[in-house]
Amino acid sequence: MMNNENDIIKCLQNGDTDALRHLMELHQDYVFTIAYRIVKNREKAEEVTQDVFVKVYRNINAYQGRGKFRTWLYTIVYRTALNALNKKYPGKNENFEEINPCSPINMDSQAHVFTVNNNFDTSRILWQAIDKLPMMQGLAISLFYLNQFNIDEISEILKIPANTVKTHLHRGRKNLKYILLTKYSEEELI
Amino acid sequence: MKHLSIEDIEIYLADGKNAHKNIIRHIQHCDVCKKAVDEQLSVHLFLKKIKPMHASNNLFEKTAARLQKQPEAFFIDSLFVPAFVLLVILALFFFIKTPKKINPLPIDRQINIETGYSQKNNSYEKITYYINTFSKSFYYMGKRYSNEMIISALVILIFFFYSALDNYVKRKLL
Repeated sequence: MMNNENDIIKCLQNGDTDALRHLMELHQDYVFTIAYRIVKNREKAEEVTQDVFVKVYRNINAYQGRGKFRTWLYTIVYRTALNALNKKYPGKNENFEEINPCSPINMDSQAHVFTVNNNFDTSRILWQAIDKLPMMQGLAISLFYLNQFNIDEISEILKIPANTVKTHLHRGRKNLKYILLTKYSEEELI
Repeated sequence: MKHLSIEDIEIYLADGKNAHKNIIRHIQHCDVCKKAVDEQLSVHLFLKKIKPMHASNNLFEKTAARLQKQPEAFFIDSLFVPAFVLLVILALFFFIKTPKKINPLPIDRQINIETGYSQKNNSYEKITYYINTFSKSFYYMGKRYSNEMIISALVILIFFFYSALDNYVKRKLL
């Protein structure tokens, strides 16, 4: 049984499709989540996820062990999702905008997207709020907190400077706080 | 007093108690920076509880089906390889030069005009003899059936480019 990611990669490089199953079991939800952050549509996000793993399977020999596999994987996720939107690199021109705390926000509009799971309410609340953020802020936050990449890795994936990543994180948290506090008190969130 | 930059706050949030002691000391003594950090800290701690969204259960099966549908490689396409081979054979008909002279006798029985002796059984001479004979046969066949050859070549070329285009379009769509 393949538990080690390095073993999975070696098997994939030998053309083992069973290794792809193991790889998808490890990563598919995370890849889907990041894809969804960009394309904002469940069906499209699933197609992007499939495309990503097809690309990984076909080009696994291009990964030569320089840098982490996850960084390489999520670079593919980011580019594939952007292609699905027919965008190039939005990060360069996106403003570091702040959310207007007075604008009406419907927190339940996308409830049908999320599957019910044990202890999922916190995540559900967070994802609904992150949906309201500008794309790059939402991506930076997702990659930092969900995938636990550091600033340099996020900078490599999104092809933006490290200081820009920090600014996105900073503004993203600030905006998230505005969004969350329109519906919940700070005591309820902690 | 110089306040903390966004970068310093991010370092503090990422490293916590292991952040640079100057940053920690400044936060303890500066109300403005402490407020800025606290503003970020509550959301930072809340975000640590985040979990991924759930994709469909049959995603692997869909991906495997997609892998099978997509053409593996350009050169494995069934029409390309035989079309290419036939094209090469046809090229032999038209592009090999005709031999200037063909000796009617087998090489070991040929007589050197200057010396009067028969030529030795030389393997180099044998090879050139057979190449000449072979290429001449193709030349005369090509000359005799030139119209048919041209039509066959065109048909094969059409098949070749059609299969290449079909392959390219399939890859783009998938």
